[in-house]
Amino acid sequence: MMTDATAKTKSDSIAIELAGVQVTHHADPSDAVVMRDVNWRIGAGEFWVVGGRPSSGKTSLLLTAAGLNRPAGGTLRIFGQDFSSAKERDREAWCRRIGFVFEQSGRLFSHLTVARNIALPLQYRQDSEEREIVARVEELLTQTQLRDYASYMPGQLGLGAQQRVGLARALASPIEVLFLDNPLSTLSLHEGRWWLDFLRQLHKNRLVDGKPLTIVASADDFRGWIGLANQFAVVEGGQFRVIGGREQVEGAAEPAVRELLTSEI
Amino acid sequence: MKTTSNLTGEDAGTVLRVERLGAQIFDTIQLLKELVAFGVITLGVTITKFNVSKRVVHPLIFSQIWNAGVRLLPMIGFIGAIFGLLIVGQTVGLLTKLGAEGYIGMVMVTVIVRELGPLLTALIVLARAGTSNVVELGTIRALGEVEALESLGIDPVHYLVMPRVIALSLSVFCLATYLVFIAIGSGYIFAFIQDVPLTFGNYLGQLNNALRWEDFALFALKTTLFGAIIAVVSCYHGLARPLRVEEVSRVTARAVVESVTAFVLLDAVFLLGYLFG
Repeated sequence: MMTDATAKTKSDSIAIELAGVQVTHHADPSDAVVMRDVNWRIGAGEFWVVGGRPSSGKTSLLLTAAGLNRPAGGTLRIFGQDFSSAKERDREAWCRRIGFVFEQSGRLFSHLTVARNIALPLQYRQDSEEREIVARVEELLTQTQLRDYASYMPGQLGLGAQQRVGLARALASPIEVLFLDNPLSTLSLHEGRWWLDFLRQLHKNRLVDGKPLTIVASADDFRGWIGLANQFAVVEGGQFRVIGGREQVEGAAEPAVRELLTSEI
Repeated sequence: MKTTSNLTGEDAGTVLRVERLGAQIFDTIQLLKELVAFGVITLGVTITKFNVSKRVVHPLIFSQIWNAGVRLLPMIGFIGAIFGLLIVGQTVGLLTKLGAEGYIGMVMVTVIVRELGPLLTALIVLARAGTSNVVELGTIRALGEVEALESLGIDPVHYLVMPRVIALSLSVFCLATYLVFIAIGSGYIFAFIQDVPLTFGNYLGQLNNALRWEDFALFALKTTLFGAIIAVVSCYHGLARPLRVEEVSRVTARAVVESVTAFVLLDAVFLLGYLFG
């Protein structure tokens, strides 16, 4: 039998939990359900990759798990708090702990320079001095190899660089969970390698309460992610299914999983 | 019983027209509800979050004041001068010819201060700043920047709408005041050129006598509300849903029509205030 202490430790180690969640389409005002009965526990320190064909609902699923898309039913718990009963203040507090990197151009603020895009969440939260913000932005620009583009407007950058600005902006805050929506979809092989190396280092080196940073990425296939992530799931036909760790993925016989592993077109 | 399927051609046409009218009335009521709700949310955010994130949001207010207010000064000045020459000057000349000089102040206050000054200013600001708001915010929405703001814990109403509402309310008030001064000044110049036997001191004295303290208060209230209407309607249409390129012109035109309708309705409310106040 599980003791109270064990149960508490277990619930503390779950960052986000979806139980019987009905995922709605994030861009459809009619709240059409695109995924039913999603049961998913994202543990603190885990590195998840959710695979699926394009337009299978991965973006909506990630936005829902990040608390940015209201589910049509079921229970969504973010850091132990129920989404449906959370107040605006709670949601703002989650956003400080969750980073989200959007697909393709990263949804940067087109009227702000690269540096100001990264600084905006820090400036808005009013808990840092201006010189601290400048130092943090410089650090992130260096880490994401964007130092030379600090004063550029987003429209002057290529898609790959824009997405890196989105990554730097998400990392500006002291986040505990990082969501990446299909980060490799539009990148060249070289840029894709940079992202995978960066995420490997980030997962290993950025510790949150002694655990690695929790990362959840979506992908059109599992190539490149096998040696990196430790939890895999697939989305197929409006259903979400957890596959397991690397061994389970590599040993899976299901066509949907094999398709995500194949390197042939 | 007669059903729609067995109606004659004329009856079916009437039913269709009534249905369309009903749908239009329903849509209008729905839109009105949404606009009021959006306005109330914006007011709530403005009251509760005015001082939140000052170093980000207050510069946005100044930037909007620059765009919707300061940059319009030359145009408002020009239109105010023409307005003064065409209307004020001629009215002063006509009243003097009729020996009704004693009514100049009253006519000026009614026409310029109460009615045309605020309305003309609001229309110019709507054309210049309101329309660009719809396009700008529509683009922001279409590019997914609103979701990006939410993901960073930034309230889009606080960041995008509140600065525009404050800036447009202040701008319309200040620009209308500026237009009234220019119109009154240029009107006198026109009357002076026409050899109207009225000294500038008498002219100002008459205006002074005709103005009541309520005129100042209602002028401030009316112009501020006109600015708020422009901001709320244009922000609502820009942000309500992602716009496709082909929808931009239609939505912008709709925002203009709705704003003008709201101006006229508000004007009617103020007229009742002037009549029975």
